[in-house]
Amino acid sequence: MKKMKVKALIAALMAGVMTVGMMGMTGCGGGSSDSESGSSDDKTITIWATGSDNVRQIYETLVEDFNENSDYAGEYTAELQFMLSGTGTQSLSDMLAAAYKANQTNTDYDLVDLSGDDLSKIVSQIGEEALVKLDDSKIPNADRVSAESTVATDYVQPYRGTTVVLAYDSETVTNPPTTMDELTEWIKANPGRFAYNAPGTGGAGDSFARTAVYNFMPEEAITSDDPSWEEQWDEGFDYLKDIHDSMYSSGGSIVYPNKNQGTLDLLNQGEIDMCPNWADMVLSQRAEGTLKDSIKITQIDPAFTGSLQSLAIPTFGSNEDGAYAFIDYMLTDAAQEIMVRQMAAIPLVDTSNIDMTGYEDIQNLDVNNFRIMSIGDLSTDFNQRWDSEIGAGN
Amino acid sequence: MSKNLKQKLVAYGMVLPAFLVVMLTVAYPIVSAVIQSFQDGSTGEFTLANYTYFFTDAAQRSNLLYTLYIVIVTVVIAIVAAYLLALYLRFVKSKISRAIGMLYLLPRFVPAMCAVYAMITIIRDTGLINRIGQLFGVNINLGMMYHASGIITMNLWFNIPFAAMMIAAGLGGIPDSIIEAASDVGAGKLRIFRTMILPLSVKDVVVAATFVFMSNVSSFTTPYLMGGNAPKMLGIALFDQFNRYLDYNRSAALSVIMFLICSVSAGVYIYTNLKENDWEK
Amino acid sequence: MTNTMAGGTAVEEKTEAAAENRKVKLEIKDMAKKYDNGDGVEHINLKVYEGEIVTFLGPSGCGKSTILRAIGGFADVTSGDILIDGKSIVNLAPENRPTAMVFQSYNLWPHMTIYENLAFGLKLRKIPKKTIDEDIKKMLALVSMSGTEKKYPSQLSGGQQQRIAIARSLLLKPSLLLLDEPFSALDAKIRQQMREELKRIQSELGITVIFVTHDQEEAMAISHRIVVMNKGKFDQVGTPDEIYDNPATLHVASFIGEMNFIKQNETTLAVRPEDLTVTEGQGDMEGTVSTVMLMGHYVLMTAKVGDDMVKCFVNREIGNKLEEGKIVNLKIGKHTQFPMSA
Repeated sequence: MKKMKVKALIAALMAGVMTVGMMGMTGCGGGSSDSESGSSDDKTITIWATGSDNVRQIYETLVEDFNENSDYAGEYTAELQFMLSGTGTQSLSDMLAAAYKANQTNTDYDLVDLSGDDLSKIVSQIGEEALVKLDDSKIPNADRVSAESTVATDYVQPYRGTTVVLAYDSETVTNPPTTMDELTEWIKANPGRFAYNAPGTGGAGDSFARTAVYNFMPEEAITSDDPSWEEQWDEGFDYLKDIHDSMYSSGGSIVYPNKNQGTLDLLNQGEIDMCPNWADMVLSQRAEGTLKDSIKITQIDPAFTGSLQSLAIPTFGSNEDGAYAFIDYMLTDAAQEIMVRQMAAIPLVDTSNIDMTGYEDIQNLDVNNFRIMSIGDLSTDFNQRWDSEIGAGN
Repeated sequence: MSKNLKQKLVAYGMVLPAFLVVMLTVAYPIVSAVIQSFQDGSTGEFTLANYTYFFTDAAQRSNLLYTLYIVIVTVVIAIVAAYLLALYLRFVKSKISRAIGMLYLLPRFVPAMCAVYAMITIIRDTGLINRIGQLFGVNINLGMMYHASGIITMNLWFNIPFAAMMIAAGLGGIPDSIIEAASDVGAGKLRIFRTMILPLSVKDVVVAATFVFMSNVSSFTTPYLMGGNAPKMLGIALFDQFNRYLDYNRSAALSVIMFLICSVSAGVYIYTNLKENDWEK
Repeated sequence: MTNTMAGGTAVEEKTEAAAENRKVKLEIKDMAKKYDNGDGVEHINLKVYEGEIVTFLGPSGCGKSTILRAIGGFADVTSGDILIDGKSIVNLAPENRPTAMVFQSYNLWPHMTIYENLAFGLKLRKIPKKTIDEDIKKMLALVSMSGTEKKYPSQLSGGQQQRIAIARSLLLKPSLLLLDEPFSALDAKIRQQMREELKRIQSELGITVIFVTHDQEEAMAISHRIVVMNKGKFDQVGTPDEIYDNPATLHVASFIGEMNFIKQNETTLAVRPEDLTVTEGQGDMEGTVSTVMLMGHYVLMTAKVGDDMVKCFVNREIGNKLEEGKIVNLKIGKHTQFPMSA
């Protein structure tokens, strides 16, 4: 009897372990599907992008529009390779780095979509020379864009922007703050009505906490990963401590919700009146009707941080001309309008020919005023210090 | 080659893939995590610092105590409620009990994420309960969001049906005649519970409790969406160490600590399962 | 000897008249117990006298256990009354009734020793420990289970467990002992032994017993009186002899013992195999021998009469002369006559 039970127990454990193990194995196998195959012909352009599902949807629309309606329709056929973020597979930048280091050539990495962070990673992992230095003569529409990437400027073409803004409920806040000082004043005058999400759980909270600290520091600090800057964080952290008691509270203690959506939910539910958040998140959710219409956005001075999304052509791709064509397409009014209307992206071209109805808020956001932040590994120390001094400071 | 040897080799050959998978995916990560937990992050030298940190740092210590508090309260309430529910389902024969018997497992089929969000919309300070209160002119602020009480409520939602299912299975194994015989010789309801039902079902109760305990020590979704910033449950603290601070050595140490906490419960489980009472021999 | 009967009333009256001077232990008055699905029993009337073993006999689902459970308090009656020693017990919970019940199986509490099982009810009655110990010792001796105090039920065989279960019930000195198919889970040989044991214990203690079974042989062996039930109704109440010799209905006739049914004109004759004899002389009918089987001290012969098969117990002397296909004369002895439609 006793033996039987032990045996049964072990058998059950083994079975469980094997199932998990097998899944792990297949998972590994699937992840390393090499892109050695290359493009079948010089008509096909393979575009690699990564992000959340709304990015996949916008890219599917853009690829279809490119193949059917653009000036390049018929000349080239774009194909999308999309990697959903947060699914635990190799990240796109890792895959590019691996392909480059393995000296692969003529791969199907014809064109890649990179966020500011991804770009920094690639530049630090394999250097900007892994990307084709862009020839503007092959991108007629590039003239229309004045925004430039701070990293690998000549190697990437920015095509849309996004930034953290101040989101507020216009029903309760009739006169939103325009500067950081006014915001501080408002926060203190309205305790419990402002929240920012815990840094490290979403870009909006990162942006708020970091700009709050870096506002007290020299301009150049915000784009440096030199650890010596950490010594100058004290003043900023004192500021964060100062406003801590006026933050949103629940169950008797101050709360910094997790994730960007966390603060946005509070705002939508009317538990707070104001929070920092991504412009595109707020506007697209408002357009979908999941956010109240009274939720509006504004930018303060000095601004929160933003970033540019760019396209780059890896040197080891196989259809450079096609890639140029797609970049050029992305800067047309048609493509920019799709991005505005489907994901509330901030267009980088003149918007006079774009239908901005419902997205007028975007027009006031000037990408040229974006503060770009890149403090590299300092962000880890920043989050840790925030957790112990602010988050745990109840 | 003898036939016997051949058979043995075939047998080993069949076991080998499974064995390798287990070694590769379970044993190897565990061993390497334990080794890593004793290493200094930058030098790789042996150190206990990764462990002492979690017991000396005030915030981490309160995380640990907070987790134990939530888990123990969850276990106690869930088991008591589940036991009452299981007793009701076992001994009360009515249309209502039959209906509950069919419905009580439904929460197990609701994806965790949906359930948590559903609960949030009810208990948050501007949630359903508040709105119902508003209709009667009362402003009810439960204060359960970002608070231990919210997490515990959610845990109960997940664990009561699960524990009730396990205990109900145990109670189902007690024949009616045992209870009727006790009633026949003169035992009242309370005495029947104390002298018959409880001793005959205590094993299932303990097993259910260990399961509830283990599954809650490392819970993540609920405390992530409903918990406050400090103190945090260990699952979130581990996420912080690993994903936000990128401190893999401390992450490994915390994993080992959580494993040890769970193994106490696992020990109780294995002991209860393997131990046979005199009367079961 | 021909005995034609329409129902059981005559027999019942006769039995009651004989027992008039005895004390009534249990009386069931127009009791009904109906389940939601319509099953159940109704119009149940019965008197059980002190020191009697009365058996409810019938196929499963006939309602015999329902009546027993109603007496024990495990099923509420829908209407009517149950009296023990003249007092109504229908409103009492099982633990407050002067009855003790032994179930088909799983009687004993598995987590308690035999001693604990036996002492449980006594302790509830606040009986001093010394008395408990003595009573248990005596009772174990009575059921031939001495020395098993420290064992657990799972260490005993099924028959031994039922002895302990009976002992446990008897220890409480119940007014009425209720047994719900207590031996049906046991194998044939043990069952036989347990019947004798129960009968011995009952006569030693003089206790009143109500016994439920679907086994007619068991009922015949153990009972003073048998209540034959069918589809929620009493078919016949009587002593084993009365029921065997004078079955009140076709159902009783077919349910109890072996019976031949011979159709004659507008009636059906029920004849026991031992009452159907093979004769050299003038018979009541002719039959063609189909099989001849030696059963030990007698021979079982089956014969074809018209379209029906009949069974006949004959002695070996006659049996030796029989062979398949032979035509024999059959004489009908003691029998009961039923109208054809019944």
